[in-house]
Amino acid sequence: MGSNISIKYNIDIVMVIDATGSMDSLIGTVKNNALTFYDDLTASMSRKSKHVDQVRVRVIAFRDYIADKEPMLASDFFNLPEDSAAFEELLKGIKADGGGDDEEDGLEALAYAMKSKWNTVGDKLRHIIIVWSDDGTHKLGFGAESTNYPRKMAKDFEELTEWWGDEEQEGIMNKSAKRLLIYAPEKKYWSTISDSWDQVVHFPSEAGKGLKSVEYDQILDAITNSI
Amino acid sequence: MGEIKGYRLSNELTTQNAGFCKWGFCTKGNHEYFIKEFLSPVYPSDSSELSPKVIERKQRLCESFFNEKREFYNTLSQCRTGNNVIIEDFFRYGSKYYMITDKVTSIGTDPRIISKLDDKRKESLIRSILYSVAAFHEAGIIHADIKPDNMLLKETSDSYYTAKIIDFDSGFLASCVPEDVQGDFLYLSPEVFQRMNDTSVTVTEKIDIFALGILFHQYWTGTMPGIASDYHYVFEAVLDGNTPTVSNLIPDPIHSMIQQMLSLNPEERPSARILLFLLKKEDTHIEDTSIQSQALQKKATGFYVPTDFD
Repeated sequence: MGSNISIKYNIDIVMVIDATGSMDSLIGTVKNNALTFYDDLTASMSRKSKHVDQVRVRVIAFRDYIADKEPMLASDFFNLPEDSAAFEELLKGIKADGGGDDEEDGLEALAYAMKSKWNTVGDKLRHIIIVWSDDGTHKLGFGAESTNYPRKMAKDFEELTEWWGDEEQEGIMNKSAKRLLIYAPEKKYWSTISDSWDQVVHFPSEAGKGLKSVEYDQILDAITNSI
Repeated sequence: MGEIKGYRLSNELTTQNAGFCKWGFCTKGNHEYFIKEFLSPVYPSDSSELSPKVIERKQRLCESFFNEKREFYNTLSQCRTGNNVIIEDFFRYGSKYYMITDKVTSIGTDPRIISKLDDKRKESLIRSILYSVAAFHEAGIIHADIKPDNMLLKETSDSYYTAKIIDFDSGFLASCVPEDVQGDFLYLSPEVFQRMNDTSVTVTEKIDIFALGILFHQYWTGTMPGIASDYHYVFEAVLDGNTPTVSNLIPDPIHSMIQQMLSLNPEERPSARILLFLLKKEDTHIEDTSIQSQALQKKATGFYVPTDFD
């Protein structure tokens, strides 16, 4: 009696942001949403009489290994709200630039996101990857000739699919905690992922149309209603 | 808008208020339906660039899911109480699975709608819900996500209220309890929480009874049962050996029913059928003539309506 049992609900979110030039109009919205994310999430949880113990956020900004000097930028996890100031500084540093051809190296960014050092402590965990992009992705390994290209990257789409896993195949992420939200056009490989991986919600967007507030609200809804 | 297997979508599918699934409304012929897209599993297409071995594994998982769901929905369709939503169609279209039910016109789901009614109408609603729950429990179905959002409230022509019970997608057959039982924390039973950390913990239909105890308290008062401020959720307090406070605004027998429904020990929670019987049967809106109910009447009064020669 009186041991104060309290369920610990911890959320990790990795924001995977296409930072190429064509994202110029959209990236401001994504950054603004990221900045208010903690307050918006806790307000949404509170409206539903729910509670979250820990929220950590990490950012991966991606471009194109062949065309860009900084094709992939990744941060550590920030504890929110404690690290809000540092998180804001990080977001300010993301500039929409470069990109070369239409497709980007989004699959490599997704692989980095999957390999995050996810929180393993807590009664209930939610590990969410959110991707924002206005175009399709290259085939994995398209930029492999670049000196910056990671050596231990999944060699092809099938290996990345196995990293994600399914009911039978243990992936590299926690099976019940993982979720993937994709805000990107219905282009290869985003639509391929949506049509072959489980626990994925794809919101098809049109290039240049920006992020609708209703879609941002759906991210909050998805997290709040998943406990 | 698009079309999925002859169902014309009325709006884009959304995740609004639903967590990680997509839903919307659609029409076929002149009829309106609710449509839900499952997030998992996903049937891989030939253009997925996966090897035949991986495609075969994923397709096998899909077929297993389809067969289990179909059995569950077939069982559910046998519980036609008038207040359980009926699955009209269940199919795969492309890579995704879809479930179709009738579109239910509702006045809402907010318990405060009910808490403002007189006691007779509140009790009538509770009785109608128990009648439906008893029917699917006796068919071996556990809902596992009982909460206000899954009770679509309807007003009858004589200003009484009923609730259409929806969203059986966390549900399962009592004979086939999944390893990973989930639920809304606000309505979670202590044993479901325990099972998250220890899959040997047994869960039964009594997880629904616990959730109903909280729901009925909300319907009567508009508020959750009382717990100390140290806790966020009712199950935490109960697991800690504390008894949630049931409002004195709730008269007996509902008051004592809710207390029992929130017991830590699932076996101390009455079944839906027993709860139904504990309520007086003066209300004529719900006629419960099932064999099980008659058997319970026998236990309580010594008499029952004979159905056959002994």
